[in-house]
Amino acid sequence: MSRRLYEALHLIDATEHTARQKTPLAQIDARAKMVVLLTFLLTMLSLPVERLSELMLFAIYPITMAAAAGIGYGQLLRRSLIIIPFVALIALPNILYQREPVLVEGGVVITRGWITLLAITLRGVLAVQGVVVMIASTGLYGTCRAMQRLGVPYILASQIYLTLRYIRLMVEQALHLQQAVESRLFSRKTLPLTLWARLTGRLLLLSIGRGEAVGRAMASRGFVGQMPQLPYHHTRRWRRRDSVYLVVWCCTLLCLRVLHFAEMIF
Amino acid sequence: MHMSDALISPSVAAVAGVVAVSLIAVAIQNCTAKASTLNPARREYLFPLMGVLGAFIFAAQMINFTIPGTGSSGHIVGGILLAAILGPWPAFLTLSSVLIIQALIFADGGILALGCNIINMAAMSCLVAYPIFFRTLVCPNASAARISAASIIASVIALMLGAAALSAETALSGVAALPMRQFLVYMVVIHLVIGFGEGIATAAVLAIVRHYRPDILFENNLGTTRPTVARRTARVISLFAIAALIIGASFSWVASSKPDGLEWSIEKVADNTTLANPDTHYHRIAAQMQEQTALMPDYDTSLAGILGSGAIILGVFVIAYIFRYQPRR
Repeated sequence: MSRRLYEALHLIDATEHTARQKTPLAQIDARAKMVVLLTFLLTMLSLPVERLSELMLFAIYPITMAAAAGIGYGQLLRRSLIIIPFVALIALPNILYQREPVLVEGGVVITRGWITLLAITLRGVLAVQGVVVMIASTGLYGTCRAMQRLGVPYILASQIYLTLRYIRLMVEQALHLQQAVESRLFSRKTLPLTLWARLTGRLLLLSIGRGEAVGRAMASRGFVGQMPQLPYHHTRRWRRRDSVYLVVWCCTLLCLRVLHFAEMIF
Repeated sequence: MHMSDALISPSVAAVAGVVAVSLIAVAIQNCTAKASTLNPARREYLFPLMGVLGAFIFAAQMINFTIPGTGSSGHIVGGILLAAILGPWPAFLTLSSVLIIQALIFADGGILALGCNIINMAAMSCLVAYPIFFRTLVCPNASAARISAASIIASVIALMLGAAALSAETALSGVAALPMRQFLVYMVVIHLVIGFGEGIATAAVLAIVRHYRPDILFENNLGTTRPTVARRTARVISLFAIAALIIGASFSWVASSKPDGLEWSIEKVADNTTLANPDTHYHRIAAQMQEQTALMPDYDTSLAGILGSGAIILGVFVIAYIFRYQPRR
C-alpha cells in the first residue's frame, strides 16, 4: 500500500537530482524548452491520425533530448509505457469501427482501425516522453519559475510553488500514518472505508494545522501573496544558445509537420 | 478521468484551454478579492492553506480504500472536500494546480489536455456541483446524514458531468472512432458508481473535520449561519432540477409508445398519425433548419430525457435570473 507514496517521493527526488546535473540540455533556458515542448505537442497532435509513418519521425525530439539530458532512452520509454492501457482502452474500438483494408502483406490484411490504434498509442507515448524529458532537464521548481517569467499570474505560480514545497512533507506524513496502520492490518492490500476516512481525516487536520502555522510564519516575514522574485544572479539570463535551440527545434518540428518527409524518403 | 494528449485534437485543446484560463483568471480575481474581505484570522493563511491542501489532495489520492462489494479499490478526487473547506474559487485554483503538477510529475493527463482536465475535474466539482447542489442541500446545523446525502449527490453529479464533458471532448476531437452515444453511456454509468464511492469518502472525511474543526469549513456552511432567501430559493431550484433529471432518465423507459391526443385525432381523420408538410419554399427551409438543429430526433432513450430536462432547466434559470426581483435601494 505504501508503494505509491514511496514511488512519488522517489520520483520527485530523482527529477530534481537529474535537473541539477550539468548536462547540455540543463544549460538551456527553461522558457525555451517549454516553448519547444508546446510546439512539439501541437505539431505532432495536429497530424492526421492515419499518417503513422510521419508520426514516427516525431520520435526524433524525445530521443535527441534524452541523449542531451543524460537520460537513458530505455528509462524514458518505461515511464511512457504507463499511458498505454488508458489510451488503448479508448482507441481499441477503432479496430471494430474502421475495417477498411489499408495494407495487404503476405495474406495478412491490415485495416485502418489497426493503423489508427497504433497511431493513437504512439501519440500518447511520444507526448509523455516529451514532457518527462523537459521536466527531467529543468526540474519542478525551475519549471515553476519559467512559468512565472512567461507571464503566468503570480498567484497561480505561487500556488503551484507552495504545493510543490509541501508535497514532500504531506506525502511523508501520509507514509508515516499508512505505515502505522499497515503494521496493524496484517497484509491487507487496501484500507476499509472507515479506517481510510479516519486516516485521511487525520491527515487533513494535520495539513490544516501545518498550513496555519506556515501562514503565520510567512506573514511574520512580510508575505502578502506574492512569491519574491529571485535575485538577478540566481536567474539565468537569455543567451544566444537558447535562441538557437528555440529556432532550430521549432523549424524542425514545423517542417516535420508540413513537409511529407516520410513520402520523400520512402 | 485524466485525459491524455493522444485523444485530443489541438483545436479542442485550444478551446478548452481558453475556457480553463478564463476560469482561472476569474478564480484569481476572486481569491484576491476574497483575501481582502476575509477576517484577519483567516486572511493571513488562505494562500498557504491552499498550498498545503493541494499537497494533501496529492497525497490523499495515493491512498486507496476498498469499495465494499466490488473487490476493487478507489481513491478520492477531492473537489467537493476542498470546496467545503476553502470555498469554490480557491478550491478550483487549488485543484487546478494539483492537476498541473500531476501532468508535469507523473504525466497523469497531457499538457495540451490540461484545459479539458481542469474543466472536467476541477470546474465541474468546485464551480458547478458544489455551489448548486452541496451548498443548497446543506442547512445550518445539518445532521451527519444530511451532509452525507449532500456529499454523495454532489459527488455523483460532479463526476457524471465530468464524464459527459470528457465524452464530448473526445467525440469532438474525432481521434477515437467510438460513437459518442455509446461512449457517453459507458462513461456516465461507470462514473455514477465511482461518484457514489467518492461521495461516501467525502462524507466520511467531512464528518471528521466537522467533529474536530468545524470553524475551518467555508462560511461555516455546516455550522450556525442561517440560510438567506437566495440560498433557500437555490435549494428549491436544485431539488426540482434533481427531480427533473431523475424523471427524465427513469420514466422515459416506461413512456407509452401509443400516439398522443393530437396524433390520435389526426389518425382518425387522415389514417396517419402525422400530416405531410405542404411543399412550399418556407416549409422546405424550416424542415432543413429542423433537420440540422435536431440533436435527438424522435427522442427514444433516457439520454434524451436527461439532456432535454437539462436544456429546459437551463432556459428557465436564465429567464428567471434575467427577470429576478431586485429590491429598490
